[in-house]
Amino acid sequence: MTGKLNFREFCIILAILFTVILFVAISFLFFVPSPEVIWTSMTSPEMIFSLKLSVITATISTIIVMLVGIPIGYSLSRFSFFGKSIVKSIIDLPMAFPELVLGLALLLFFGNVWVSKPLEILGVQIVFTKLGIVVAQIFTALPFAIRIIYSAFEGVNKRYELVSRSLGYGEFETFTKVTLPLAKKGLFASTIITFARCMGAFGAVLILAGGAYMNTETLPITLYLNMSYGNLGMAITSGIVLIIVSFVAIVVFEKLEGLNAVKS
Amino acid sequence: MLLKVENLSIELGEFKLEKASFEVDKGDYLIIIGPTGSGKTIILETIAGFYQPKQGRIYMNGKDITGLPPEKRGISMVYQDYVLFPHMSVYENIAFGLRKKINDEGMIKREIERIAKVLKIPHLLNRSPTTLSG
Repeated sequence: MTGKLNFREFCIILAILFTVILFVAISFLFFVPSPEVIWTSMTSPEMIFSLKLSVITATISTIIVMLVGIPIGYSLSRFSFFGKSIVKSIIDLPMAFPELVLGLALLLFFGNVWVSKPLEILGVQIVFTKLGIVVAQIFTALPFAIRIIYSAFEGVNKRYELVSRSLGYGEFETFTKVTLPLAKKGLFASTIITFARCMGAFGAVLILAGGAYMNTETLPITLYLNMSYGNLGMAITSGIVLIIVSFVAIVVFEKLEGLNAVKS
Repeated sequence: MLLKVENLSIELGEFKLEKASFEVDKGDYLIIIGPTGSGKTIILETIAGFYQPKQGRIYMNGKDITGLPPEKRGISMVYQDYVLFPHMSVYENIAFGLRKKINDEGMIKREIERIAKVLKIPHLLNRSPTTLSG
């Protein structure tokens, strides 16, 4: 056996071992509670409420994240401007620190009189409300979305845009007719990952929206609240629902990545 | 004079081009020769309006076009690669440029059919350019 082969074996064994441990750990979630407990939990008013709230807030947050993330990702990919590297670093920052810290920062910001008072006059309340869930989800998912969107635009050769401009199309027309369609797979992947991130957002949602029972209770909050009450069946069922959502998102993402790789 | 480039200086990151000047008359051929990285493409892209020169002027038919955006210059670029949009069919690729010149979709269709006949490619119009070999 050569050293090269040993290294190869080591890498493959490590990959399989880690995958098996992860898979078994996740499988435990599905087998610990009985099917009756899962069914009862699934159909409980609390679960239906939190599932509905999670899907609605995650959908709204995903739409907002994509609407904001696409222009930001495009500007970071295509334009040079003063302070670009600082903007990039600050946007990336929430990816590096815990969600709880992000939630705390958002709570202090939106709880501040200078911010909360003007918003109150406009009839907008963010702290400990459902709107707070959306805000927390947006700030949790946006940095990840921008990263993927940025990579998607980087993958589109600028020469296509230059050709379009030389054929008489303006900057915005070129963006909509050439750049967006060419980056669509990456943008779609970003939408899926954003939705999964929003569905699973916990720390920031808990701190900014309060995690109140049947009020600002999303699926991860249901898991957390029921774990603290000792209601394991409900906790595990919400975990199962979250895993299914994440699994579907990852499968679609991998599939799209594969398609992109084949194309390039 | 069709095209006149006067003291054109370009700076793009570490790339620098100092005071390039030349003229091209109608019917002329201009060949720019130079090693890789010498700025041949960048000169053409600056003339097309993709980059703003640091100094110098560009004239087209006597009109100063230095400050105009690419779509207002009436200059088209054809690269060696990235010539066809991969997300459009052959028909759409031809129509893309025509749509900025002709407003009538029927006239565009007739024009494309005429061009396709000349090039002997009517059977390829609905194909994706990514499926064509050459």
